[in-house]
Amino acid sequence: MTGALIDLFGWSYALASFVLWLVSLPIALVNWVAMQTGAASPGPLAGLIGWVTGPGLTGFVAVIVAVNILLLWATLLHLLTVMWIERKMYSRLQDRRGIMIGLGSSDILRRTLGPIPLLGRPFRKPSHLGTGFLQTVADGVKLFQKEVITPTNADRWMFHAAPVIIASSTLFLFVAIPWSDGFWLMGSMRDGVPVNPWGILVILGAFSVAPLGILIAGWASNNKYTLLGGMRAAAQLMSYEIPLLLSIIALVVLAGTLDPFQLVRNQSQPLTFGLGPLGRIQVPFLPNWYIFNPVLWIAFVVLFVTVIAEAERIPFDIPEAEAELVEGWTTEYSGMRFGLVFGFKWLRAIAGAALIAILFFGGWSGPVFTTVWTPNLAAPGTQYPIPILPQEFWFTVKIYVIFIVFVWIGWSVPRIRIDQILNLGWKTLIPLSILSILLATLARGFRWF
Amino acid sequence: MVELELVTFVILSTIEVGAALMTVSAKKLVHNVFWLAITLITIAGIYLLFLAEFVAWIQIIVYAGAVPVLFLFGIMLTRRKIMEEPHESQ
Repeated sequence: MTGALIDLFGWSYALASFVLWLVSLPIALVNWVAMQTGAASPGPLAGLIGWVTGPGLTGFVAVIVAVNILLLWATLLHLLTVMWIERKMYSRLQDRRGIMIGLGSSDILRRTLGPIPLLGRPFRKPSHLGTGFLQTVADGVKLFQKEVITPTNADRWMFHAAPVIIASSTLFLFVAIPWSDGFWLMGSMRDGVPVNPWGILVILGAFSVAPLGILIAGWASNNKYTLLGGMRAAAQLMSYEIPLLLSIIALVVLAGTLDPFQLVRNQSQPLTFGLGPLGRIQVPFLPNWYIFNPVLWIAFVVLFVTVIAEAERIPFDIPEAEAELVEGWTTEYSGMRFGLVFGFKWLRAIAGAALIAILFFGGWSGPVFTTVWTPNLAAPGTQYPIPILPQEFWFTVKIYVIFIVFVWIGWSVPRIRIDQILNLGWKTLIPLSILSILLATLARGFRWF
Repeated sequence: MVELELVTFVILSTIEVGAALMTVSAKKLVHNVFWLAITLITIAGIYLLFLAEFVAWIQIIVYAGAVPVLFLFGIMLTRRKIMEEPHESQ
């Protein structure tokens, strides 16, 4: 496809065929020995070799490889980067430098490589040499080394089941979120373009499973703080899920599709507005992102607030209020279980930012001025976009920028009190989202967009 | 050669019936809710097997997401004693 750097299934299929070819080598050797000792011509193991390297098994292994590539991409690359961005970002907001342990801190590297800009940082004090990226890795290693403690009076079975529910539902989000036209897991190719007719619905479904795991975690720890945190989390997540769904309905009414690929294809066109009976006007130099559509501005505000609340980020972090509830529902988890339930909140924040990027900011399509439009020779009269940078780059940049706005909001505003949370959710956001549905329906009916 | 769909259906329906039995037989109410959620998610899997994707995802959003949470609210807001006291469970 155009501009996609990574062709996930193509790469996975190639990797799977290579691995299976390696597996078939010893079988082929045995087959050859058998033929040398007097077996018939194709050898007794030829059928087995054919099955191992055949398309059925290769396709199966390729799907497993694709799932693993996608999950490693989400957790190892984006989770670590986003945690680093958050820590550096709020340190800067507090007028300090933040974490410093990085490759530049290594004496050996600095001595062998010399003063490298950004890595060596020769102009800084010796303790301020790194960029801090290795600090997140060190925190992960520390969590792996810690002992996993189960409280005596905890409901052991549910206590261990809750992180599984939370982690699996969070990773399921990334199954449904495509990263470009070629880097996707859920969907199919139809007429040369990827389609996934219910993609947004799958993402919302995966978002809606997490409160169950959080409530079970809070209850099973058998601790009054975790139970309070779990109840608060369930109340908050449940009441903010409704405006989340409703505001997305407003966009879906206007866009006419639940397919993330189709939404992004809609938004990669030049910006046009319909004026009812007067025809259409085209705005130069702007892409057709839904954020530029005045009808959807209310829906965008509601969606942004509810995504922050769904990820339990700071203005809405009452479920784990550190000062009063000692980390809320995660109190009794230790070691890597804490790493799972705590770190995967950043994954949900990434998924929320990806959802906002797909719905309102054009997903993985680059800005219009970085796209070269050439006449499409295959279909005369249409134009063919060639982006200058790959789509994964644009999508990642958009996700990180939205995440930086999350951090910015989170460390600038005070936390919302428990008695204000439900008022804000039920009395402000839900009426606003219903109003945005009304606006979107009117716009669709009178063809304003 | 056994049909793959039949195998998937048998596995899913076994989990579903087992979870449904656990729903009515488990002692603690929160365990019942957990098994109810398992039952509902497995039903969504069976819908997927029937190629009814829209119903499957709506099933997950509505039932697997909201109903157990609502049910838990019912339990926790109506029962006077929320958790077992430590001296009871020892």
